[in-house]
Amino acid sequence: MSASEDRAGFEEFVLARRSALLRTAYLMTGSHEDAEDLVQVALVKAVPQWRRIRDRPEPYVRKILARESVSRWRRRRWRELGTDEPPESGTQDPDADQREDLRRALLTLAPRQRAVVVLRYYEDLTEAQTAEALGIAVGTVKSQARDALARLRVVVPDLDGATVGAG
Amino acid sequence: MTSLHDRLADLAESASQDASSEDGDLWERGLRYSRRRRLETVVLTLVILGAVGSLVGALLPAATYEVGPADAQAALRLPDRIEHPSGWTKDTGDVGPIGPLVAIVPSERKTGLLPRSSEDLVAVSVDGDYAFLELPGRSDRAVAFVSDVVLSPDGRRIVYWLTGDTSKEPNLSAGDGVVGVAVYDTVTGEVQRHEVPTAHGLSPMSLATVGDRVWMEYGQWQDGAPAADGSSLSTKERQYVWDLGSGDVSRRPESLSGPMGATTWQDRLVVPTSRGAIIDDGEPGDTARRLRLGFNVDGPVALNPSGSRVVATEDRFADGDRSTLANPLRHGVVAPAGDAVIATTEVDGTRGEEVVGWRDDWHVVVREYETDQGPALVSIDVNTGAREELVALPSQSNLEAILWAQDALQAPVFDADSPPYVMPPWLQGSLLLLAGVLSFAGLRLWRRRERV
Repeated sequence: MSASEDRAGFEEFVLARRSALLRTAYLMTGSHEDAEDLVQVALVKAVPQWRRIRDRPEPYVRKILARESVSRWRRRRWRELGTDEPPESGTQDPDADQREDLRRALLTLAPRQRAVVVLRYYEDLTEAQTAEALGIAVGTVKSQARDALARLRVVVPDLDGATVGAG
Repeated sequence: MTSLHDRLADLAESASQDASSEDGDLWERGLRYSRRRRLETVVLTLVILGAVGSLVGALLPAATYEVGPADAQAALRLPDRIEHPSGWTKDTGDVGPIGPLVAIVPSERKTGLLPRSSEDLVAVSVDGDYAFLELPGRSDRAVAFVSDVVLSPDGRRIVYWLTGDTSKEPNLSAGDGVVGVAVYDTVTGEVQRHEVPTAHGLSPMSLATVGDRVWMEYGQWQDGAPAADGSSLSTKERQYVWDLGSGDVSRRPESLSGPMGATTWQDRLVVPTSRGAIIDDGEPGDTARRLRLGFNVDGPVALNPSGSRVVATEDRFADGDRSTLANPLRHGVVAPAGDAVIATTEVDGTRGEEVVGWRDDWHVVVREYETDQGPALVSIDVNTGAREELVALPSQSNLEAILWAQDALQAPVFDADSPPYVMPPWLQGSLLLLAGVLSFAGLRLWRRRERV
């Protein structure tokens, strides 16, 4: 396959999956700008490996996304930056309030816990897949998920009733 | 009731879906990133290799400092500097004999994991190599001896007091029980021993060697342990000559002084007396020549290579000042044979220099404690007093205790390297471990960069 075909395949993937990746990145960062930045970084980093992953690129790109969200926090302290952001929705819409509460609650978690929650309970990855994506042990995934859920239930009391639906 | 998945999905839906203006060049950015990453990987690899290489490079000379091997044909050369080597320098037991020696230097030695320091002797070869001396049967405490070790004029032999078992309780006044004299060959490493039957050990006095002969002066301890006041009784010290070729040992006449402080000339000793010197050929009977210099001698007396001139330091006060020593060098012509009274002349500008030997017929070699570059062996023209520094010596040393191969004083001077830094074994091990850890960390880092 030629370089131009590789490029076409990559751009096709970006077009098809960019929105889904942005949603995941938004949950991991809590910020539209950071989510956009994170997705772009993940896609740029996927290019050198494209020939190897082109048949099934998404797991690799998500892996970069997840790891980058954690390592970036270490460099930039996103947690502090994120919580300083103003509310992104009006206060009259109960659904919007609920979303904002959850967004803020996620930002109170450590980045790795946030990534575990997003991969386990949004992407519905198994514990083993989550561990592989983040490059950590399965036991760590379990403990991080447990701690994260406990924290979320404290910060967002109405989440207490919500079922945890990951497989 | 909504699940956490639904709540997260609901929140995720609020993510901005605007296409970024930068999406169009993602592929080019990815290619640029790829090139940069490859470059970074190469640089990182080079840096790690460089770090590990530097570490190994720094370690290797210290870890692999090899001395010798001994060269029997090696001509004597005089290094332009003598230094104290690392206390962790290997000994001749580890590296073997290192060939003809130029000098033997007392130096601090370190041993053990919890480093222990002790004074020991370092041999300096004609190549400027250093190794601590491992002399079989030499007492660890032998430094207490009056004349512990001597070096032959050609640097081929080291003569030392031999310790061993006495028939009765040994007297330890001068170190371990002394039972004889040994000669170590600096080229072959062979040791020739002369053991003396003794009840409590020998009371060592002085040693000397030239040609195939060894002069020994010793008595016999009368008892095993020192008296309550710390003193020990010994028989009168007597002088013997051991012929290394035949193995014969003969007693020297009482009329001859012991060889303490002797220099050498050809195959004879030049033994200083209070106002002159005895030239002792070691032959049976008293065939020695006596030179009378007419002044009080301080230190060694030396004959030049042709035997036509003698030099010594006069022990006297400065004129009109009995609190300051003048101690000039004096030299004079020696008749070809027989006893003689020598008329001597003071060497201009000399004061307190200590005679070591002769460089040639007109230049005497002396120890000086304060030259511009610190202590040194200096050559002085006995006619003009002109000086030339030959060998820089280590400061903070007992310079008198440095032994010189007399013939080396007449050898060409060469530009010697400083002895290499030899690091302690524990530091060597730690640095090797560090190099290993660095390599492992580098490998991990490199693999991690490859993975994502």
